[in-house]
Amino acid sequence: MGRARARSAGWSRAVLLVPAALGVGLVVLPLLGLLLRTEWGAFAAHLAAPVVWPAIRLSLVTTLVTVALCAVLGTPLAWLLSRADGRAATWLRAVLTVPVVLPPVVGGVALLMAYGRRGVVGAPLFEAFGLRLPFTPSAVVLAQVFVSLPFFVLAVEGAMRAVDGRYDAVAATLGASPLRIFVRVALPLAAPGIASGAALAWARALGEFGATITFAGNFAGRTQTAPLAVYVALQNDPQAALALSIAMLAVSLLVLGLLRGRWMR
Amino acid sequence: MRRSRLAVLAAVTGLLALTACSAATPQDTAPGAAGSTSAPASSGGGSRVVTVLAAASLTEPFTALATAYEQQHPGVTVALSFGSSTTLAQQIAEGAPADVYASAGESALAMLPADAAADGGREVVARNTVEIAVPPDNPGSVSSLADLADPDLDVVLCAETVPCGAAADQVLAKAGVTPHVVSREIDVKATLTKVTLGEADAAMVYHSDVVSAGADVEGVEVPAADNVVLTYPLLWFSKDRDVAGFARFVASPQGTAALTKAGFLAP
Amino acid sequence: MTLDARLRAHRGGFTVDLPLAAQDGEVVAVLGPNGAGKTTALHALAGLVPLEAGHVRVDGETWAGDGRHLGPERRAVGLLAADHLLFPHLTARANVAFGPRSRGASRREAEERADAELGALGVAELAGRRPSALSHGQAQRVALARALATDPRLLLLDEPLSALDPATRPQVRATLAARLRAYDGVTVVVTHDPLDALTLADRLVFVEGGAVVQEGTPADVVARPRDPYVAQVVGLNLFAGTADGEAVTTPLGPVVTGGHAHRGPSWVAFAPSAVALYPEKPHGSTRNLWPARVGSVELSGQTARVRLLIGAGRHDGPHVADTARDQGTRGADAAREHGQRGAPGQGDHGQRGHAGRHDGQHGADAARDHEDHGADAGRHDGPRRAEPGRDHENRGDGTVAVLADVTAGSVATMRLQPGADVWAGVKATEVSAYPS
Repeated sequence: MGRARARSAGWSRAVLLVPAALGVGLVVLPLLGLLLRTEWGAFAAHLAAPVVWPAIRLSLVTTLVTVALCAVLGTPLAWLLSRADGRAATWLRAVLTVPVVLPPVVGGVALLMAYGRRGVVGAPLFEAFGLRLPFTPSAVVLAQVFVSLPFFVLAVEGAMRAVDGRYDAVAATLGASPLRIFVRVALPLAAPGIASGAALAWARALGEFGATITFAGNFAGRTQTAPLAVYVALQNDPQAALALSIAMLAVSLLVLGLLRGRWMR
Repeated sequence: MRRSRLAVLAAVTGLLALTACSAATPQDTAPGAAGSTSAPASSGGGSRVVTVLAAASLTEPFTALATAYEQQHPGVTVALSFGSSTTLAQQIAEGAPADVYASAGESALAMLPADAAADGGREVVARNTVEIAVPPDNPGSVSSLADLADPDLDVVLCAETVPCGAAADQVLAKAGVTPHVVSREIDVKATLTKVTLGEADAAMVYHSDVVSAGADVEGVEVPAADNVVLTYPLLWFSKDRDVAGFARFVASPQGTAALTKAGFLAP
Repeated sequence: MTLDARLRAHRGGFTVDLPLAAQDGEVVAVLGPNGAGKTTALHALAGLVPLEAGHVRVDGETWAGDGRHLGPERRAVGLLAADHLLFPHLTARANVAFGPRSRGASRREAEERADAELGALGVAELAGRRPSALSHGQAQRVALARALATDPRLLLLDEPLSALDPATRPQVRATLAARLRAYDGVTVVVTHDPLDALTLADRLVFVEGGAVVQEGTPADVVARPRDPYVAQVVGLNLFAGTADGEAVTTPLGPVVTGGHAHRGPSWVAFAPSAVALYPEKPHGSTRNLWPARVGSVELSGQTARVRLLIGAGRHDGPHVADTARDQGTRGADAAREHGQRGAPGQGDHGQRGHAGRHDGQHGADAARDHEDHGADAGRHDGPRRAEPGRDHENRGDGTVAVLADVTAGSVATMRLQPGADVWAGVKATEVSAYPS
């Protein structure tokens, strides 16, 4: 009886272990492949390839600007959404979720339609000021914000929602204005959520490809972010592409590791 | 606090799951690169599939030829995949299933194993030349290669690593022009798209692309002295009846007719 | 008049309509079962929910009404809820200083004020701690200090002691009572604990279904409940009836009182401890005598609370027998229900009371009594049911429930158990009657 029970326990554990192990394999194997297929002897030389550094620098600068924009624009938005329960809020939330499920290329096309030279906003801008957004680093940031802001807002809204609304009420009776409640109560209480939202937005921005190449184009040093450089380099210099991929992997792990130690434990 | 952290965790996991679904691989997202693979799964027995990987510039004529071939050979399905020649060559080298490969230019063939076509065959099916594409109203008033150097114009080229980019660079070098390039797109279709959308004032593409784009763009011809001629080799990798059959069909006069109609030059 | 309010607000299917007025320094307790609209009323005073109609005026300033609605941050209010709701990321001092800072004080002023408030509540040494390092009782004191640090004209306490464990509740209650005596604004305390109300408040307002059912000083309310719910809270048997010169006709039949001057609609009240039980019909001077069947017996300490079902005067008739069978299960329910109760009347262990004993002094005694009791058995301080008191009234099936407190000895000698037939008697002098 006891043995049978033990065996069936072992069985059911195996039933869970197999898919779990397969899942781990699906994620880990490609990463291992990246490491195993790299020619480590020539790694430094490949990293020194002219496309690598400008792409990494552009990626770091644009993603940091993107995260900053997400935080500045997204945190108040998340706060308002977390405290609103009307139909408008529901719709707004749904609309904000669209870029999350939208293929990034479609996002790029949408951005062109809005800010392109013939876009809804872009055309007047171009005619009035000769201002062109596509093919500029600003376009890279715009594309990244478009795809990552929803992640940020939804994550932070969840964190804000988890902050007991009665704290707002108490703070209000203590004389705090809505702005003060936001700054002094909601922000500190939702800080871990904001940090994970920022990490999420940053990760999404760093990996952005489709919307960027569609809207911002691909020009080394100006709009060619690391993922674009990897893709282009893959066509004639796979080892440079691998080196760049590994550099991106390292940067991602470093930043996520720092955030984890500091905020996400 | 614990609740809030759980909520955040849940949100993060959920969103990551969603990203995993939406943030596709570059092959999927790059416009025109390895686009849709039209391989309808046939229900009846005895259906044969010929998998064809072809340069993005061949999209229109190959689609038409595949349809024609399928009509003439019931039971055969021609699955098409278009992308930049180099990307496709690389995919084949990495083991992607392919029966037929059509490249824009010879350069991408270097990526294939030397004996790739040993079992099958190889034939040049078309030629192409480089041409400047501008939006219909030609807002940048481009009339020659030299105009592309104007810093007020936005010029888009293919990436250096793909044949149309290499060809454009050759042409520009011959003419001694340094254009004001704002972007190097990942393949010829993406390059042309920037012009059809009006985002770029000019792009350097193939003559066939200008023809296939119809009224969406205007072409500005490049003088023969500065131009380069690109050949389109067709490789097939097996002796299979349907594979070889489709390859010969493309190389046949009927195939050439379809290609020249799409703006290619006869081989 | 410092506070003058009429609160009309809609909340989840019912309307709260509550007139509320108070003088400087007055503590008004709003009592009522769960869902009676107490918290809604409090939030309306604080400005957290909008008034549908009515007004809130404090010191002549209109906070709400006449087309005006001040947000909570512009009202001089302090709010203390059952959960202390201290901001977890701030120290006790910073929590208390939050209000003064929000209302424009400099950091130093605010912190000095915070230290003073914390000192007044005896928790000055906790100023540097985060809420997570405070006990519930300590946190509640800090929260009270925070609510008072903005010099509110109106202090709103929402079940301020209900989340505390029975051991710390008396201490915090004492601190709160002392602090409220020194506070010169108006305090409105919402509670369902009669002991809180009796010990803290100058005036009690009973609310049921969003409306006031009775209002008065604790002494008045305890002596003369005018609503079944109020009677249940203060632990009295209460019946509605019609008075004539001799007696009051109630669902129990005619009840002879210690003497009453009025005629017409009347309330009749007597304490459970005034009810004597006899195994056989006694031949004494007791004027009010009913055959009864025991519904349930609840023993606590030396006292037993017996729930009697009095069947319209027919002892052994088939009607009563039916009812008694019916009561087999109901009695058990009722016993459980009583286990949840801690009405102050329960404190008069076994002693025969007298009609005049429900004065204020006695209320305080009873409260202390009850307090000890609560400390012994914390379960008795649990939340009360939403529909109390009804069982004092005619039950609609021909029987009437009456509560009697007897000694544990009586339970033993008379073998009081559900279903037992007894006689219940109440001396006329123990019965008070007053016009309704």
